[in-house]
Amino acid sequence: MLFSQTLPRLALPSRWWLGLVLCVLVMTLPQWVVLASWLAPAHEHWPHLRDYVLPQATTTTVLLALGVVVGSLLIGVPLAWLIARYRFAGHSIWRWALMLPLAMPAYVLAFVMVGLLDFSGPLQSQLRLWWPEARLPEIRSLGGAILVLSLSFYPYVYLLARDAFASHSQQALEVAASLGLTPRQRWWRVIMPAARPALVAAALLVTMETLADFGAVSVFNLDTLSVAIYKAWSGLFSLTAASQIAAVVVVLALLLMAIERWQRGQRRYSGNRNQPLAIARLSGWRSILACALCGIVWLLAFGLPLAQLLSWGCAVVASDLDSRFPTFILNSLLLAGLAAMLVVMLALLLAYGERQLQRPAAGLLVQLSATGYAMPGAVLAVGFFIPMQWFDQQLLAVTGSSSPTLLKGTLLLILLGLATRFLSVGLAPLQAGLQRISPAQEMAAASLGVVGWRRLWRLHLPLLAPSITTAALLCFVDVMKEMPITLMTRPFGWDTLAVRVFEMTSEGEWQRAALPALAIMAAGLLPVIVLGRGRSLPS
Amino acid sequence: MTLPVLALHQLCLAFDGQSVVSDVSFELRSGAIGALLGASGSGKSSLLRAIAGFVPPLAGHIAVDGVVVSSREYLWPAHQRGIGLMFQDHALFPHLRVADNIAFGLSAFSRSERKARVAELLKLVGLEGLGQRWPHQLSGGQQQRVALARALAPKPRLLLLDEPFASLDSELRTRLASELRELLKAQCTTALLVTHDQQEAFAMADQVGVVAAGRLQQWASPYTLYHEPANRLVADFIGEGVFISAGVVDATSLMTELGPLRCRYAHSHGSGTQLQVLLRPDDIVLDDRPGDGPRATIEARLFRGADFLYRLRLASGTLVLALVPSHNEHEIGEQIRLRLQADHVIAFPTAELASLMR
Repeated sequence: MLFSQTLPRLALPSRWWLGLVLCVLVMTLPQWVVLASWLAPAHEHWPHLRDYVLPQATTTTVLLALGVVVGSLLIGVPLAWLIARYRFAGHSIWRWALMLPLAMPAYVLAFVMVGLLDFSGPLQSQLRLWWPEARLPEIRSLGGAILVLSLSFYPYVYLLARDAFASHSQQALEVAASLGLTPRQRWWRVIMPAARPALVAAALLVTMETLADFGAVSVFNLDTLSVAIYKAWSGLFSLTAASQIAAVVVVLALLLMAIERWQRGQRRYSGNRNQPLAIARLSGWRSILACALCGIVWLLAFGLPLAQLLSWGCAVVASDLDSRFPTFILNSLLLAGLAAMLVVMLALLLAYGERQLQRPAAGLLVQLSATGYAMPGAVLAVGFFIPMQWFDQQLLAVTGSSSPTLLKGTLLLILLGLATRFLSVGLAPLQAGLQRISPAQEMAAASLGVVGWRRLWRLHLPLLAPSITTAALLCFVDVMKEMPITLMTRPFGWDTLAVRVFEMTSEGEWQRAALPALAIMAAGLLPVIVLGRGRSLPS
Repeated sequence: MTLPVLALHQLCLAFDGQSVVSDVSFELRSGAIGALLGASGSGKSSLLRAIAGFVPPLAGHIAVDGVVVSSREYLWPAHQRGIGLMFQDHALFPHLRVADNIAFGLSAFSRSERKARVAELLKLVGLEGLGQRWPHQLSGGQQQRVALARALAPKPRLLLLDEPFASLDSELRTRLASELRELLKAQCTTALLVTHDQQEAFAMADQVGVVAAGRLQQWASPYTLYHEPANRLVADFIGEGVFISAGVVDATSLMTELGPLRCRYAHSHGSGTQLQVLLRPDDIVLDDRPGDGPRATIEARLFRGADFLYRLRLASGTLVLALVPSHNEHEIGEQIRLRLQADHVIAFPTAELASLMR
């Protein structure tokens, strides 16, 4: 018979399931390990931890997060409205330039600001020359940290709010006006409620970033939970204490993720292709005022710190650009490159597997594997270190080798932590890219006899190329900027640019941290320039 | 004599320096429903937005209840005009329930008054019991009724409707159009709608204005527009039909290639003038009786249920349309005899056409 032969099998589902489950197990391992540490028997540090560290660090972290959310909303929302609704002098430049602070890691802004505004910094020294009694409020305080982190994280609010405002329906505004609402009432009763989902999403993003921040708060000598994990690890040498603190962070992070899921479900779309918001042109002093507002924020968050970094960098370039500096750069590039490759491969496996399986359970597994994005780096470092150490001990018992470390002293440990932390950064563009490939295209390929791995190679990968570039670039930059995982799990003496920044700033050597910081920023500017112009949100 | 609710006087609108419409004048009396009919991009929506107060006029003025609200010098704020608005996509507020959407413009009411008014409107538009739904839980027709209730809630002096049925499927449209007309008439609401659909405009409005080539070409009742279009643009836009050449014989008769055409009213064209006469499909009758007369070949036919629409080619090559009852069936390619039976003769001088088409 002509059609007697069986159709070729499209894929082997069991293998995809296996891969997905394995990914979930590895990627959520730190969370289980850390949470399990509360089951450990009481140890010598426990009373200190219970009475001092945990309550204080939790309070500080929550206050800091609240302050930064309020601060970044106060900066980001007015700027977003100004850019979305009005045209004024330099509008097209500001629209883009206001995203640039994304390229400056929070810990860089932090040490530059502290260096500038500290008691011994240039500003206060100058003031004292004029008025000997002059004092500025202490920058190394909760208030100072809130101010600096708000300046660092406002772009998330700005980007999400700007897109929400720009896509707001002009007709809804006109209906509201026809029903007798004044412009002010329209803003509060129509525009803000419509933008609320975007603002909540941005606030959550800012909260997660604040929770995860380690470098900036340690510059401010602020004992947040992330810093407490590091101190328990490097000061008390107690892995149990470190992971018990980390467990508190995991609970907070899970709470944030639950809120995020819930509010995504709440989001309602009108489903109409609305006429977008009408643009108003500002002229005269209004235009100058708008321009000045953008300029002040940009100068504080990016322009002035960059200028200061450059001037410090010039001052130390002769002495610091020694033989060790290229090693930092090479280590950073190597780590970022390897991590980006690993993330892209894992993300490809997950996204393609999810598509092949076409089951809700597969989607759930993929989401679970990506939960690392909400976990601060210090948590992941502890969470991977403990099982690695255990594994090493088992291995030592078997082989009888004398070396105390096998796995935990290798790049594998850092890479696992980094891949877990940044998997969602790579996953999002790949999932979006795969969604653009229609089932009809896959069926067309299958009808031409191209199936299985050949189809992945000949159809999906070429079509996914731009998404893969985006995913790899974003991961690369995030790893370049990453500090706590690299700091806590690197092989001894193996320094990257970020580690160098940490070491210099922890000794108060602001000038000498300038060169590695500039190198990190140069890498960080790449996606803002390459992707930022066309895209609305680079992460 | 009462003042018209809405009066436009020689209104000109421009957008980014480009003139959109100019010299538009019309009036709408209390309780009347008007329609602006035109192709997309003809500027009819801009007129609506100008009346609502979102677009300042370049020249001329708009008066509501005899008070000038828009002129080159002066633009009364939209939120103080008391003019209701309803859009094609309904523009419901997705963050508010149906009842809260309807109550949106009732801030001046007390709590109990507001509740009563919302209940009254839900009943009026036939959505009782759906007040606690979210907009996205409603069908397109229901959303449209919520938008109507919301616009009517503060008892606007004038209701503006921008393509109110465009987002609904065609079956619903005609039914909803007559429903909406009855509802507005029952409320004595003065309304102006904008549409590109002639059926919709005719089903809804007492007075229809045709907007084309940047002007209001004619403002008249649907019957007048169809049977006495003011110019060729209107004639082209309203209904089906074909123009054929005709010569003036005397004050009440013309000569066409389909034979003589008698006019009910005397026309003013001089003897010998070349005219273009609009022949509606119902002006041409198939003559099955034996005899002489103009003949035509059936080129195409469209079965429309109750009747056939035939496309016929005359011996001279001219095409005409004929609407024939369904039981009178002829095959494509068949030769048939025609007769003219027109009550309203619509004719424009050939010269005028040339100037318009430029």
